[in-house]
Amino acid sequence: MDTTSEVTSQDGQGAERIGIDELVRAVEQVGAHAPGAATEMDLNRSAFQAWIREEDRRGTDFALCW
Amino acid sequence: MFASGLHSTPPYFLPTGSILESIPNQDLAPLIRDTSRLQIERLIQDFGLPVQTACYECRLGANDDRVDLAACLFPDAPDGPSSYAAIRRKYADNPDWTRTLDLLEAWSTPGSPLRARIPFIWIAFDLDRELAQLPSPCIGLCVDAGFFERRLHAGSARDGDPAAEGPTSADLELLADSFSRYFSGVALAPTTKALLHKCLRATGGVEPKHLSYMLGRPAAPFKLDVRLPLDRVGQYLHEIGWPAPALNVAKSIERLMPWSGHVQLNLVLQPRLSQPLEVEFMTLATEASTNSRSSLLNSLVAANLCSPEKAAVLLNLHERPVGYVNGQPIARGWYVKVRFMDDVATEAKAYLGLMPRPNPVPSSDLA
Repeated sequence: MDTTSEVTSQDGQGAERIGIDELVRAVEQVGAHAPGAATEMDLNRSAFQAWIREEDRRGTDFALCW
Repeated sequence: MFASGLHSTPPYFLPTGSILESIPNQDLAPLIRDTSRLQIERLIQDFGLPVQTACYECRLGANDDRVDLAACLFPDAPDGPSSYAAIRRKYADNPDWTRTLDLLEAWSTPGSPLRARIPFIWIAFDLDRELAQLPSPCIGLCVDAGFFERRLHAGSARDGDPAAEGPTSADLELLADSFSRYFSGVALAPTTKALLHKCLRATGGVEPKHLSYMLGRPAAPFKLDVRLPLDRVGQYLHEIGWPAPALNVAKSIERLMPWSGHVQLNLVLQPRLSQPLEVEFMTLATEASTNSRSSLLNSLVAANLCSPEKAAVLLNLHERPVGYVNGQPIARGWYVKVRFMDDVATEAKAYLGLMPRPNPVPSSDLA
């Protein structure tokens, strides 16, 4: 895994390119990893499964995750 | 997202190749011809990761047989590490793939902030030509952290539920800029940031859903996907400065969808806001009755954007919404995307998704 910020990409462009660690740090700033983030993930897990169960119960209209 | 304990139950996730086997060739032709399926089956062997949805992207025009492929990934799908390692070995000489896999591995790491912010990721491949191996992927990031909760409650925001409020525009600017610099090495231009805020500032039930980075395409366009009520489209396009007569475009959309509901707009924001406008219909299946689906397809056939035979395939699949692989149900669903140049619809595609179900589906006797 890329653990350092890249200065340039292989094609000579991308002077503003960041690596995966910097990306993760940036995403962390949006607040999703603050207290409550775990709850949000739990909510997603249970809501996903409940949604699937609801679609299966209805049995005719299956939606994509989009 | 899903605890290892779930692995003892029938899977929510299967490799793409297995999922695609749930529909026999004769049920797909001429929507998807054998030659397209054979190429996809060959190419997808390199991509063994279990996925939640495998999705054919089919052009609907009578003389356009191009088919692309997409897959919906979840962070806790089984066999992730070994699958990622195998893909990494195969595509080690492609920087787009390396960055994609770095992202997927970081996203899949327990405790990663990426997981809480991005519930699922779409990966899509332009396969509309002969290929020796999978090309650079297009990446679609779901940025609606409360996506499933929102869908479960049919789009109605729930008071006091943070997940129902959606991300702020500042959050999304940070995400969009960071991913742009990560994937493309290019920060969002100030004009793009201003445009993004304009797109997100609109009121009236506009929900940001996805950020997409089309890595394999020239200039690697960045797209924003928003969901909004149909009757808001004209005003919304006007507000964001859409480069075509907004109200006329909205009227053309309403002619295809003469009922109330929502659509989703794929907006290319970088390098610049540009045509065509891509409009997605019926992404939430419960909003589209069988009659509505027929009506939309009939309109597309009348406009020579869909062959009658391809429309018949889609309606037939809607009537038989479950297939099987090794006895496991595989649900079927589809929605339609139409491209508009000015106020003229110029191309239509269907996104046919196939989704493993862990439990028996009551309608299975229809299949």
